[in-house]
Amino acid sequence: MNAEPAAVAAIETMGLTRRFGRTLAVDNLNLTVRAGSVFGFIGPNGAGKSTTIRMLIGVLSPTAGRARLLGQDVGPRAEGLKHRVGYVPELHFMYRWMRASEVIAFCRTFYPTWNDQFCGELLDIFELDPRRRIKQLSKGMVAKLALLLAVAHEPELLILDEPTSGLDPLMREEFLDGVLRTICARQRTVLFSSHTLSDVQRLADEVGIICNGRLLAHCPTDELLTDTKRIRAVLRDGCRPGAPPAGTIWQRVANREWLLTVRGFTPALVDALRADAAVASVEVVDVGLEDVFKDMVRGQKVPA
Amino acid sequence: MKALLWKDLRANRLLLLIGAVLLVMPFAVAGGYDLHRWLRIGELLPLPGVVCQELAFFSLVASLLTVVALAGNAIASERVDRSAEFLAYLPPTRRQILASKFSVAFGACAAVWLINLALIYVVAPWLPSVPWAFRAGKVSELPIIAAIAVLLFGAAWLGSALLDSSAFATAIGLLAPMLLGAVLFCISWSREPAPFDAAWWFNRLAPVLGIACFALGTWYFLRRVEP
Repeated sequence: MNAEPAAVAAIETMGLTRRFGRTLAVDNLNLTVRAGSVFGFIGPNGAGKSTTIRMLIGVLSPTAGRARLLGQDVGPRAEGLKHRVGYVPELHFMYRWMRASEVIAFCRTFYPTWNDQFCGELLDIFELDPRRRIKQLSKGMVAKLALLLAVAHEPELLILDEPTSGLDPLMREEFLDGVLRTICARQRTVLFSSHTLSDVQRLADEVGIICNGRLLAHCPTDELLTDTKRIRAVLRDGCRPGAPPAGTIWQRVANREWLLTVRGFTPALVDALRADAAVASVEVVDVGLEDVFKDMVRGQKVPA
Repeated sequence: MKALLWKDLRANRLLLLIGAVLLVMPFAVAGGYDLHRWLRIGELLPLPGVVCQELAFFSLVASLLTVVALAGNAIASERVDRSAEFLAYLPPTRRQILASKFSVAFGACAAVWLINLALIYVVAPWLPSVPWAFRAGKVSELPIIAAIAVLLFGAAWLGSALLDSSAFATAIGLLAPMLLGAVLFCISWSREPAPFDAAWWFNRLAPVLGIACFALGTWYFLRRVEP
């Protein structure tokens, strides 16, 4: 029997839950991210992405459930874990009075695996002036410095929480190039959350969509995109659509047009719709990650 | 740990500088007066032991400001600019972070006290100008200054652990001895004519409260998740 060895999970959450008073920020999250993969974590504002990430890096305790990173339980006693994980937050709060070189020297002392050569290369690539104080750096420069600090110790796992928010397209491009370089330099796991879904589609092998603290989808990006289609059906005069097919994540009826987004699409589904007496014609359209995401989130608000 | 110490020394360097100024200020004022006298009359007064002792005593009183400012700034200052969050993502443990903050704040205060106590008890008796005549009055005031210093440090440390503002934390530190003094005075006033030694009680309660506040602040900091 050629049983394939089980892929090692870099991130595992088991029933991870976090409440803030009456608000349920993260609801029973069960997530597994394979080691060596790039995982895009997407969701609307307030969906629970940052709360999940903060629990993963151990700065926020879960109300229930637990998380494991690189096979180690996350918690106040998992201090050694921070040596193996790099983290880039959405907002950067480095010591504003320090020079870039001082922040680098300060962080360097905490990581035995710090790679000076890689750090120097990144300084050159990012065109960062080490003599400048943090308060003198632009937002994009600070973001790039944060990425440098997160990767220069060659972490096994890199967590990026909306790292490109607020950056102009050029700066975003340079930042993502830096991320890609980091990924390529050594096979490492990356989890990143972003509202820029084109970035996620470009980088992520796997994607997780979270809404209202619950995980709506978690699968390889390609699979999600090939598996999900939008169907545009034209209804006959005076006819109303029947029950939506199984797997419908969102639908809308406007006059005679019936739009459906279906996950788990099969050609048989089109045949079944065509056979419906109310439907005059059916057209299948490919959708991008942005459309899938929007429809999934909309579908949560208006039941399919 | 060395990097944390360097960071905390740099972050507190303005307060440390002020502390150093307060430490030498009484001596500088006396020196200035002496210089002025020399320029006008043409003679320099030798520093008698009792003057050295007085100046060191004033320096100790002035250092109370250093004590409260360093303790109030120790933790809260990193919440003002949210750099505490940056530090929280890095590998140092909460204990290491706290140990470094305590070392800088307490170390500076202890240094100021040690220097002044050395001036009072070691240098002053050896000054050749006058025979050693330690003023008993001043010596009896040292425990109360020490008690105030402990309470200032502890209360400001607690405030710093709880709050996001160094100014409020420092204010809590400054208010604590006044509040304790006011409470003891009220008790003393309400018990008249029965004898109640408010100063005796202050000398004993202030350090206990200061240490309790410090312990509470430390416990809270170790448990707190930034932000």
